[in-house]
Amino acid sequence: MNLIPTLNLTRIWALVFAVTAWGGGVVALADDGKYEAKVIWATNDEKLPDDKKFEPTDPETRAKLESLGLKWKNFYEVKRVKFDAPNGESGKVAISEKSSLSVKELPGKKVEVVFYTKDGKECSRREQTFKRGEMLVHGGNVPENATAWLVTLKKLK
Amino acid sequence: MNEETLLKLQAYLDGELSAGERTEVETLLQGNAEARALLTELGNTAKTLAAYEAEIKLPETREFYWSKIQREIARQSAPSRVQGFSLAATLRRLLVPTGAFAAVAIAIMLSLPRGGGDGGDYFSASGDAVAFTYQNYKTGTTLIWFDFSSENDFSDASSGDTLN
Repeated sequence: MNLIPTLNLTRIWALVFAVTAWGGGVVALADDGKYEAKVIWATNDEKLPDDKKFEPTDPETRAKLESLGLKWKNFYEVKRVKFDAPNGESGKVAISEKSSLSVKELPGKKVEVVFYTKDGKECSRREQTFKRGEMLVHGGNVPENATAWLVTLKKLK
Repeated sequence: MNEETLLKLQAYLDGELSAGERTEVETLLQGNAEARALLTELGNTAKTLAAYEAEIKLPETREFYWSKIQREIARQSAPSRVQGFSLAATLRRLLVPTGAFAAVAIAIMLSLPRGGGDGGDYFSASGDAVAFTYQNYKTGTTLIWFDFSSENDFSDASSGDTLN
């Protein structure tokens, strides 16, 4: 009886697939995360003030913001910042003059996101699973003109 | 003739009446031609039906035929044979409910919101910040909403990139 398994074509392909998948996983683990943050202005005004040259936010971001049930109808992108998280940690990234955030990748596709105010003071700290396609939104009212500011965060890679 | 009379005529024909009722019907028949005609018709019908009734003949004797029926009834009502110990059968008995339980547990786990709800997440607001979170699991969007006072940094009109 021949106890040595025959290396037929199917077994070879299975071996190639397994090695590729394992290698891909290793590469993915070693890769740095890429993130994108946007400063969004939420308003019900149909017309922007003349000194504001903001563009309406992209449809994906708009759809996610609308899913939160906010009371504002129009969302304008004020600023967009892309940043990396080398070795799973972004450090403090300035999003605007008044806000910054940091992202730390944790096991189990979780992240810890810390939001800072203008003076660098920690404002909030949240830990949750965060995958591509998901969005974390920080926001608050601007009472003077009944609008709101938003900072969106999504994972690019 | 009323219905009761018709029924009595039929019963007379079938021999189901008492002696007194028979006398009563015979008296009626003597004085009522319609009743006589009906009785004749009923009698003819009965004879016709009897002539064409299918005769079923048993292939065996009556006793043997019924003994077969009796044996079949006894066989079907007897308890099933007790089987010996079977590892496969025992495993099947254990695995079927266990598998069903596992399937239900998996279905419940899959139906739960994924991506971590507040139960598995951690959130804290620091300093003067008062905040709450809201999560739309369907769109994978989480909101952290701050309730700052109007003097907060974000509404500072003197700042360069203020929104107001």
